[in-house]
Amino acid sequence: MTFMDSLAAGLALVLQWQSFACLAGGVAIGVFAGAIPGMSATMAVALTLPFTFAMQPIFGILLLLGVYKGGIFGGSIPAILIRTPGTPASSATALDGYPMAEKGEAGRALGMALYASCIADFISNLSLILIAGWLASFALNFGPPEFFTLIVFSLTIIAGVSGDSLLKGGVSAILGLLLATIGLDLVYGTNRFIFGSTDLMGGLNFIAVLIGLFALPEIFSFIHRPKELDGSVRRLGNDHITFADLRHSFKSIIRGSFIGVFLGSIPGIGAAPSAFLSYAEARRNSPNKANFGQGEIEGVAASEAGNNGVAGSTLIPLLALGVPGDVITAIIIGAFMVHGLQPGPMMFTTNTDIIYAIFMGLVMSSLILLVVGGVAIRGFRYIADVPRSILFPGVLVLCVFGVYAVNNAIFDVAVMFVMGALGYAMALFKLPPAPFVIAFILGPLLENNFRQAMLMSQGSLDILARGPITWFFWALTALAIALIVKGALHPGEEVEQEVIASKSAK
Amino acid sequence: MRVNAFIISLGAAALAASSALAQDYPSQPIQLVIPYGAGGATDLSARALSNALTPILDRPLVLANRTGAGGATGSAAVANADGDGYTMLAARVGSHTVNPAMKETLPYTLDDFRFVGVYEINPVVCAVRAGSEIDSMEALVQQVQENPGTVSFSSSGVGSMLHLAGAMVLDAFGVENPLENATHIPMGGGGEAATAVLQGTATFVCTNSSALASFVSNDQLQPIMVTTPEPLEGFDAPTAASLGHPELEQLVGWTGIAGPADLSDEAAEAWGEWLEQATQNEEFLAYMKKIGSQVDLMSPEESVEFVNAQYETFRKLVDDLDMRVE
Amino acid sequence: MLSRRIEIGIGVVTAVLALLILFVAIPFGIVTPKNVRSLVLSPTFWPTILGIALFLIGASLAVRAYFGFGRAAVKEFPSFDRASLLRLAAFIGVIVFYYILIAPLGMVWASMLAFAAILYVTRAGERLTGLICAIALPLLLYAFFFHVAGVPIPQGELVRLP
Repeated sequence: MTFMDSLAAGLALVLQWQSFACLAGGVAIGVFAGAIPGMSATMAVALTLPFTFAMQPIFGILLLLGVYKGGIFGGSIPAILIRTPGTPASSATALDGYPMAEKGEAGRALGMALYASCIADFISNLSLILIAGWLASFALNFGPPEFFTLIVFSLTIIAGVSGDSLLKGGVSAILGLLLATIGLDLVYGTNRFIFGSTDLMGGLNFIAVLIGLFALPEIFSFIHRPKELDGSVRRLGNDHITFADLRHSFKSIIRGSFIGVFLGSIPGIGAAPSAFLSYAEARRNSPNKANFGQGEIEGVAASEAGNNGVAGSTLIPLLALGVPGDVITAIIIGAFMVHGLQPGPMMFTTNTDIIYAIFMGLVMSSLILLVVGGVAIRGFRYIADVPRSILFPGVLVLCVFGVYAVNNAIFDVAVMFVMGALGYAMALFKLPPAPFVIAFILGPLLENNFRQAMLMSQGSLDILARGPITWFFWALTALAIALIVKGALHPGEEVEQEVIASKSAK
Repeated sequence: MRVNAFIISLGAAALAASSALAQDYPSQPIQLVIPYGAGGATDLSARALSNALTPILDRPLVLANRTGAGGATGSAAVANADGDGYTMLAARVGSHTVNPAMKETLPYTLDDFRFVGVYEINPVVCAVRAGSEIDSMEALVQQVQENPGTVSFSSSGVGSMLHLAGAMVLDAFGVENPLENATHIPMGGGGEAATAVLQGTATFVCTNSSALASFVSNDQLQPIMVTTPEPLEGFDAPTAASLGHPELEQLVGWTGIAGPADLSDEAAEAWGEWLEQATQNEEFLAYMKKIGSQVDLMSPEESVEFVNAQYETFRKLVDDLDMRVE
Repeated sequence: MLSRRIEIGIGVVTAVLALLILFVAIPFGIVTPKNVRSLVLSPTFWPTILGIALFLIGASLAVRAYFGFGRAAVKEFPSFDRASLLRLAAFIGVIVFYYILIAPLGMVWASMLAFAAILYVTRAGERLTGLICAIALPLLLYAFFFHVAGVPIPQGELVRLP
């Protein structure tokens, strides 16, 4: 088959009403599921999978891809409205999105999240189509040593989200790293910090920690001062994003998209680090750095771009190598196999029509996300208008159901409550939660890749600088640390800016 | 008013549900715990089984993924559950023979479960990277013996079947101290373990054929041995028996249904019948074939015998190689 | 930056926590197998590094605050009067009972009680709307999670929902 033939065959497959219906239905399911804390994109994809068995392969795959993309965006809705990240990746969005909602700008934040998501998704899909082969062979060079250096570099973003005190950010990050070590040891399988509890053997549930740390402290501070907060009713979330907003954040969206594309193409990283990296980079390059964390729209744009930028490129290892980049793509591989398709290099010669149909379906999915997401925002936005005295107990109940649903464990609800109390204490003493979350996500990756590298080299540290990729990340890390030290030695400007910003906010 | 009506109707429904308790098993939804994550081999298999069971059962079968600690968290939850038959487990080779054989501190033993049937067998395949100089078991063993420390194998974690399989295969082929002379590299999951071989982090991996099928058909990985008695379709590699090691046929993956040890006879019998019917289901059979596993329903007695035999084999290996995890 | 006293307190507490981790939690909470090949592979290697780093950061927080470095912007610590402390204590009580009641009552009924209790603790204005939400939300969530998403939401022994 020539290129034009396959293109035509692909078009014929994708230009049917069923493929539009599947994509739109999938995106809608995904957005809805993503918007419910605890219902992650992974769960939504797993639940949809059995329905695809009876469908034609291309429709089934498009449905799953729709759910995946919708789910990643959907997570930003509760992150902005009730500071409850629907998916781990949207916790970066909560950093600035929730303060915006507090100021009555929920509509603007949600609009920005949607546009940033769609643009990033589109860029990610284009990258998949144009440079999949190249990125895939590059990603295959990532063994444990390369991973380790990448994670070390990613940890430097903690400095960017530490707020006014680097040391406190450090405390928060190390607490996160320590809690991530609970469970069974990777190399020897022995118990770590379990103290006889079967429930702790599997480690702390990720979503429970996240929701506890972000959503519950808000409830605690509401209980602390219900009258004051209830008095300042959050205005109707009835404002919109403007073109000026979009232009202002455009650079961050593009940067975030490419960070997402790059990290997404490497199997095993996932969307959350990408969102945080994009956020930290946007903050570092922004003229109003001090406003980040207080409700800066560019922060929302950057995190959403970083997290949706991953959505297309995780398919790069899947389609080009047959390697699942994360849990979701592992499930999607299952869908391919059920239909007798084996993703990988051979598929580009044996099933070209399906490949092209998927490509075109993906490009359409960005547009569909824009439409479906717009409708969803319109519906969910009014949550911002619910009086807090009803909203907060509602959020508590919602979180309990959602956290239970993740792993069917009541114990996770307890984890969430304890983390909520810890999060409230941290908030009182101005220990920022973001470094904790980043560390909790990256901690296991850092330790595991380090130890895998040590196993490979029989304990020699030389392996951590075994090739150009590792050198590159060591250099980046050195650069980032140099910038942090420089910032720490001349803190004057930033603090002044912050005082001005906090004054003008009042 | 409407709210009231709603509550009343709910109350009525609740009454209806509680009066149904008087009926025989099952009178309420049955929870099937899957001790591994969504999208994994156990999950896909259990979901396919539940699709086949749904038309047979007059109560819903609710699937609950309860992941953690290599299957131990979910298994322990079922071991401690009520034996009324409303909490069942999709037991797997990793959680029920490898883990009990290796882990001292595991919160359950095989005796804490009553098996109602093993329904699925997964052939195990050992594979290396395509184009690797090591292209057969013989070459692999030679490499381990001549250059100790240069060969490594990946797994989905300590106490996973992949971990034990790598050691068992090397041991069977006469490598002394396989865990000293070859390095075990635990990865995060089964997919990552295969990828680790593809990109050169590990030399070989022994895992379920389904996890390797697409890599093999894409010529990215090369199978060097299968543990089935007959050659395996799609895997151009000799069987363990033809290499002179029929004892490796013990090394297979499986999935079965089990309840807590005090599972009622009524529930056990019901499940036996359901499994009998479900494993006749055409769609189920076709699906299982596609994902590369063999449907082979064993009676409760056969299941227990099979599981115990595998456990004993693994246990002996763990003792011989000092693989016990405290 | 909070007041100097609190900052010193944070530093000292962090440092003490680090010492507890290093000298109590790690030796008693981590099982080290006898056949560890090298120090860097030991299960205690990484937690020990973290413990040391936590101690250093805590100590430097305390020292910095003691000598009064970097006291550029002082943010005030929220005030706790008697009433708000009572409310927080009551809320913690609600959470604890909520958790305890999930198993015997079922998640739906426990959620209704918890919702209503929080409305009471905060003296919410819209009583009727609040109560309706307290009853409707858990039922809706149950309907969604059990019937749509297929999650076995725990039910108590008393009244089971369909």
